Amino acid sequence: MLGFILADLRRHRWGVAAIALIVALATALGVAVTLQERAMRLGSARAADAFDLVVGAPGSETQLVLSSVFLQAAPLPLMPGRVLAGLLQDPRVAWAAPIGFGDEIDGRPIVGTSAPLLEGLGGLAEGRGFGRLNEAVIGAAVPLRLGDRFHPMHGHAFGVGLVHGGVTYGVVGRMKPTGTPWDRAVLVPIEAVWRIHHAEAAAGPAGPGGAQPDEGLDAPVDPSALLSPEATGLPAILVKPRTVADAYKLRRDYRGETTLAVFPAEVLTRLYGTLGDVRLVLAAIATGAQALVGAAILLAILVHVLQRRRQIGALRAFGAARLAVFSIVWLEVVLVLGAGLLVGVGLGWAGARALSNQLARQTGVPMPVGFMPEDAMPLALLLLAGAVVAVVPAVLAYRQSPAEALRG
Amino acid sequence: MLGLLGALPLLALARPARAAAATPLGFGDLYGAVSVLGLSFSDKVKALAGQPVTMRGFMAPPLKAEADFFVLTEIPMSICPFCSSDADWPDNIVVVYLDRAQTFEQANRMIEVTGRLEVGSWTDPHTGFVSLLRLVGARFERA
Amino acid sequence: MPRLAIRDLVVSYPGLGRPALAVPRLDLAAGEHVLLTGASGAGKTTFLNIVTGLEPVAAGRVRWDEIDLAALGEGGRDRWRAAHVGLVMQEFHLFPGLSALDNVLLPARLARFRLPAALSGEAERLLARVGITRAGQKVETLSRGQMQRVAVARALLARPGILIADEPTASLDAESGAAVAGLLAELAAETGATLIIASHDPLFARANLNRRLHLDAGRLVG
Repeated sequence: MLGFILADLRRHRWGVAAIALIVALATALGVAVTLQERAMRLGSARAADAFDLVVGAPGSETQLVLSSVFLQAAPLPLMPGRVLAGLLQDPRVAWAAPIGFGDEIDGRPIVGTSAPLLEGLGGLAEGRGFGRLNEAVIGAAVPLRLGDRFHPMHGHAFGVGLVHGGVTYGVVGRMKPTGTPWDRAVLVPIEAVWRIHHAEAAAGPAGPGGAQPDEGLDAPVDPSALLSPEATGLPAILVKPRTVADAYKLRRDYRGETTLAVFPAEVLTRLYGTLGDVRLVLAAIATGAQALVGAAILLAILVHVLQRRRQIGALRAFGAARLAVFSIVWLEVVLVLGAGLLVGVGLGWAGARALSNQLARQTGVPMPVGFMPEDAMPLALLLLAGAVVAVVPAVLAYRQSPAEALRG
Repeated sequence: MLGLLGALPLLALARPARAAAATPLGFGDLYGAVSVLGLSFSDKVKALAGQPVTMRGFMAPPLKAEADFFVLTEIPMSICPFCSSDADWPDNIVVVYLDRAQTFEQANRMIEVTGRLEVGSWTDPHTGFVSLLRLVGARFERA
Repeated sequence: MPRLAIRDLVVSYPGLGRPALAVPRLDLAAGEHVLLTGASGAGKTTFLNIVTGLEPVAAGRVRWDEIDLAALGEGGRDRWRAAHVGLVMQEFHLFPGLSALDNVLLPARLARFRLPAALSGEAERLLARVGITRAGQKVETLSRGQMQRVAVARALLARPGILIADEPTASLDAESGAAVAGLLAELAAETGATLIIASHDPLFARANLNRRLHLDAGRLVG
C-alpha cells in the first residue's frame, strides 16, 4: 500500500510539492514567532544575568537598565557621587561598580568603571586589569590587541565625533567572553572619564586636536577617589548584593528622592509581558494563516479526489477494500501535510536563526534559538487537525460508488 | 508511520498531570504561635512536609530574568518581601523552586503555585539563598 | 465453478419511464462462455454491474451458487467480488508510475494488508502467460495491446471463478484485439471460469463461444 502511495505522490510531485510548501510556510510563520520571541527573552535574560541590581538617578527604569546593562547609549540623569561611597561601605553589598559613559571608539562604547566589575563580569582572559588612568581593558569582541593604543571619540551628536586628540589609552587586558553587549565595550577607570570631561568643561568646547590634559591621565588608579563624598555625579552603579534578602532591602532603601534602584530582571519581566502579548497577537495571525491555508488545501484536495473518482472507483472495482481506499487518501494527505510541517519547522528555525543573528550583530546580545519540549504540543495539534481534516476527502473517496465512478 | 503519527499528540499530552491531590495552603497557615524562640511551624505545615500543596500569592519582582526560583509573597510586592521586619526570614513569604529555569511575565500578579512543600533551613548552593519554607518541583499559573 | 441464477431482476433509475434492465429468469451453467451483445444503452453495462456486485440488487435475486448478491451489503459485495470476479474493462484502469507486476498485484495488496508470498510468483507466471516478458517495466511505457494483457493478468490473479470483460477490445487495434480475445477464451478454459464478454466487436461473433445473449432496451432477447 505504501508503495502505491509513494508512486502516486511521485506522479503528482509538483502539486504535492506546492501543497507541502504552502503548509511549510504557514507552519514556519508560527514556529518562527515562537522561537524568535523565546530567543529575545532568553538572550536578554542571560545578558542581564550578571547584574542583580542597578542604582541610578530617578527617571525611567527601562532607560536605566537599557543603558547600564545593555549599553544602549542614552543620556541619563546623574546622581550624587556620595551614593557610590555609601554603597561601597554598605555591609549588604558584595561589590559595587560605577558606570560612566560618553566616549566611544569605532562605534564601541568606552565605559568608565572600577576593578570589581572586571571580576563581576567573569574576569580577564589575558593581560591584567587597569592600574593607571590611561590603561584600558577590552571586551572579548573588540578588534584590538594588547599593547594597542587608541584615542577616544566623544559621542556622535554632530554626525562626526570629536576626537579627544590628546588622550591616549593603552590596552592592557582582555575580558573573557560574557555573551553580553559588554563583549563590545572598552573598560577604562571611571576617574579617567571624569577627568577628561572636567577638563573639557573647564576649557570649553574643543575642536579636534584641541589642547587636552593627556598628562593628567598618566597617574595610578586611586580606589579611594570613589569613596570621596565630593566625587563626580554618576549615571549608574551596578550592585552585587550579598544575599537575596539584601537585594530586596537594598532595592527598597535606594528607591527615594535622589536614587532609583531596580532589578534588571524586573524590567525585563515587564518587557516579557509586553513581548508575550505581541507574541500572542502574532501567534493568532499565524494560526489564522494556518487555518486559511488548511481550508485552501482541503478545497484543492477535494477537487483532486473528485477528479480522480474514476481511478478510485476502479481500485474498488478490482477488489481493493473500502478501508484501503480510505486509508490511501487519508495517508497521502497526512503524509503531505506532515512533510510540509517538518519542512516548516526547519524553515521557521532557520528564519528565527537568521533574524536572531542579525539582531545579535546589532545589539551584541546573543539570541539562543532553540526548541523546548512544549513546542511539540502546538505542532502535534496542527498535525492532528490536519489528520482530522484529511478524513473529509478520505470519506468522500470511501463513499464513491465504483459503478458510478467507472461510468463517469 | 501510522503509529508514529498517532504517538505524537500522546507524547505532548503525556506531560505530568497537575497533582490532583495537592492540598491548599494559605500564608496564615504557615506558622504556629510566635514563641520567644522566634517563628515555629504550624502543625499543618509539619503534617504537609514532603506533600504536594497549592498556594496563592504574588510573585515578587524576580532577581534574575531567567531563573528556576522566585519569591512568593502574600501581598503584592512593590513592597519589599524582606522589609516587613528586620528578621532575615519574614513570615509572609515562601520560596518557589521550579522544575526548570524559565523567564517570567507574571510579576506582581496573583498566581497559584503547586509544588512539594519542603520545611527547614536550606541554603541554595547556587545563589547562597537561605530559606525556611520552600515549594520544590513547582509549576505555576495565573490565578 | 459458479453457476449464475437470476430471478425477477429489475433495475430502474429515477427519471426513466421503463426499467433499465429487466431479467425475469436467466441461468448460466458453470464454465460457460457467454457473449453479451446489444446496442449502446441497451443495458449491457448495467447487467455486468449487477452480476459483479458493483451495483446493488434492488429487486429480484442474483445468485452465484449459494451467494445471493441481493443479500450482501456494499462491503460484502466488495469482498465477494475481490475473491470471485476478475474484471477486464475497455479502459484498462492501470496505474501509471507502477510496474506491470505491481499493477497486477495492486488489488491483492489493497484487499489485504499483507501479501502472500506465493502471489508474487503467480503474478509473474500470469504475465508470462499473457506474453509480457518484462514484468518490471513501467506500465505507461507499454503499448495499448500490452496494457490490456496486463489487465487480463490482473483479472486472473485471484483465480476467480467468474471472468467478466466489458468491451475488452474496443480501444485496441484489430491484431491486439484478436490476441486479447483469444487470451480471454483460452485462460477462462484453462481455469474453468465462467466467462461473460460484453462486446459488439464482430471478432467475438466469429469466436467459438457457448452462448449468446442479446439485450434490447433492457430485455434479453434470444
